[in-house]
Amino acid sequence: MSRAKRILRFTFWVNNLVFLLLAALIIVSFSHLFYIWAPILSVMLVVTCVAMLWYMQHHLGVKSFKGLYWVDDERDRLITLKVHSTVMISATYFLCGLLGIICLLLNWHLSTQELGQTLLAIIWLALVASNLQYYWLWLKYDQA
Amino acid sequence: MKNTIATRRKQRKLSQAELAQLTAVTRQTINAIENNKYDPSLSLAFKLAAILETTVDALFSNGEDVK
Repeated sequence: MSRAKRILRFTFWVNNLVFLLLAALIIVSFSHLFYIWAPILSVMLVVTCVAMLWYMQHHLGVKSFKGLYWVDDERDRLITLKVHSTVMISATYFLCGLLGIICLLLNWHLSTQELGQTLLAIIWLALVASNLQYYWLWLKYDQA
Repeated sequence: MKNTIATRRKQRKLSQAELAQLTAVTRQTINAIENNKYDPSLSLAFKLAAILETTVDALFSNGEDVK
């Protein structure tokens, strides 16, 4: 497996862990246990991110996190640009769809809390989907 | 684009990993080029030709059979 693919796979799974922690944070933010769980989950998020950066520097050979740091050669760069282009187009469509959803939600006379919960859930789903899409596209273009 | 990289590489008793190291690309890139799944940039094509002691014209073709 190439170094780029190892970095991509590692980042994919750490992102999934981060999204799980974020989901937990979103869920507890609407409960009475918020002031107990929020600091714990926040610390876990920070530790996860720091551990990810440490692992990438010491075990995956990443020296700097500037630019396309996981790219080793021209083929990796081409795959990255193709994937980024597709993901950016998807993100643009998502934002357009989100505008429509917000207009619908505003007409449903939801409370502020309900509106907030719904939007948080939609944005969380979009992040998870985007992570999946990035990984899937990279694997697809790497085979091509 | 068809190429004769695999044949010439084997003639020189080079592995894909060794050729990749000489051309500063990954082994996966060399494999993709040999299997016609990736067309290299001009600079990489010239590097490959230089290491395999041939010309770019002799190394790559547009799809016609390479003799």
